[in-house]
Amino acid sequence: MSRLMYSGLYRLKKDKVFWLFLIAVAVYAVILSKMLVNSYEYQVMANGFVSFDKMVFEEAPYTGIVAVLFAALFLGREQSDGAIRGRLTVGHSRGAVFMADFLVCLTAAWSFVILWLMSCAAACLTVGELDMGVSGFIVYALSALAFTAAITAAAVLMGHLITNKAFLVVAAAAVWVLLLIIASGLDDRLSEPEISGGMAYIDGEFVMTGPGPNPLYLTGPVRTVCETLLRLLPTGQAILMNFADLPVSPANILYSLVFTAVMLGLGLLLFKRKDIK
Amino acid sequence: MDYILTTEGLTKKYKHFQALNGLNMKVPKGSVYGLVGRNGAGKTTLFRLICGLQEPTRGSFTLYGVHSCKRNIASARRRVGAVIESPAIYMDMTAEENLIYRHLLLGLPSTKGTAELLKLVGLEGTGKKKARNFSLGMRQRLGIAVALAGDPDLLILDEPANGLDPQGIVEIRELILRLNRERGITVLISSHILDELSRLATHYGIIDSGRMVRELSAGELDAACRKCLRAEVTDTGALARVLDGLGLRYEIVSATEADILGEISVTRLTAALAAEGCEVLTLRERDENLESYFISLVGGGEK
Repeated sequence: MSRLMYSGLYRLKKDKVFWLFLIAVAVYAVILSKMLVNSYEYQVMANGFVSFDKMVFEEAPYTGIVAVLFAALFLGREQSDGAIRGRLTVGHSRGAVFMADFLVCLTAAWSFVILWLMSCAAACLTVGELDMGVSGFIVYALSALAFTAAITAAAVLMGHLITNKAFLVVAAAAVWVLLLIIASGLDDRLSEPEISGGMAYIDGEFVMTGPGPNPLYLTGPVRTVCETLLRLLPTGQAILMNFADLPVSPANILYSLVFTAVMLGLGLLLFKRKDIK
Repeated sequence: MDYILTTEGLTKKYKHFQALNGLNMKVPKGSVYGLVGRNGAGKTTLFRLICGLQEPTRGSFTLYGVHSCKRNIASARRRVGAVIESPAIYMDMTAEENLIYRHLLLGLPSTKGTAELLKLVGLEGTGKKKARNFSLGMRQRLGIAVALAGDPDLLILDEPANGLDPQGIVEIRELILRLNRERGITVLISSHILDELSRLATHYGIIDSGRMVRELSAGELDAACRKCLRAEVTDTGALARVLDGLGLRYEIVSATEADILGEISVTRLTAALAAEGCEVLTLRERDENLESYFISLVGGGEK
């Protein structure tokens, strides 16, 4: 496994696409930091008080697509150049090859996320106000690393089963979009208020109605399942983090670990059975 | 005799296609073993099974005395270098970088022997040129160099001359011969270019429809290849009647030519043909070669 890691990191170091991604993310991180500060100051001038917590992590949902696209491009080239085949031919096991590829892709993904978190941290230092405090920021940072690992695991699973590079990139992006849509839908339903009131359209005219139970409000086991699913999905945690609605809790990392374990387990099982051509 | 690789009833079935069907094979240590077969005969499938890219449906193989079901088959595979279908090289890395990568993968000091390997395959002058800018022959040679990293005892080459020009084919042939003679590496090579294979191989395995039809050494092939007389006549129908009457084996190769096998009295033959009103235009002796021997074994055989 260590040989696979060393050679994989050597490969990453030589990969132009990795450096392009890293430079692009670094440049964007610098710009983002300034944009966040300017945006905060404008909001304060316009509205008085505003919580910087609800602004600083607004790019969280997009970390996933960066990780997924890179993993798909990287593994797509590994497939097309025959590198995965080459690693198996010299006697490395399928499990070791799969896990090493995951760790290499994760190294890259975490590099991008750390740059983004550094820009957030720089903005926080400039603004000087974060309701969740330093410990909360650290929990959020670790949660971001954890859900990035989860989405990377999903991309690596696909990268070892799909041999066509172009199709892999498209499929990986499509899966990310699908997960984002599902998470967004869950978040919307869970955000429905318990009591609602307002207007109803009855007999051809709008009528004011009194406050009453919202039929769209989820309760009981259904609510629990939806909340759990939302936190299990890496895109779900990212959406919640966007507006600082993600609980400041180490449990976020456990949820991501479960998702990661499921993806890696499934990937290992399917890759071991795959006939490599 | 010491065998580096043996297969016992090796079978591989895909959903609707049987690629290997009880293949039995023995590759002697130190040989250049030429695997000959038509497209779809099972050559590449065999290589994939040996290299661990696919699992057999039934049967097994033994590599360096290690049975394929044993856990340490992975250690045995580390002593194998293989180029299957296309070379496993990174197109955006140079030749040296590809070798360094392979050394790291094998746990070897990263630069040990890279210069020597590049010189062996004739790529020492490529410098910073990326593999994507190499010719097909250069990529094949780089693939062989990568396969040689780690000093394998067995080199598996799947149609290494495919797509190469005549110069490229000669270079690959000379490289393989050098590896076998100077380093004692056993080479298992498949090829469609039978004439080229006949200049290389010390042993042959003729495979058809997933089964081994015949295994033989180069010496046995020489003995098995028959001399024949090629006759060009004005009436092959008359020739066929005469040959049937004389009890001779023959093969009609064209509208005017036939190969006649076995001991022939030319005088009797020409007299019999003259009696049928058939003129003999030319008569010349021919040796059967690997190509005609292969065709006679797997199809398009004698009448």
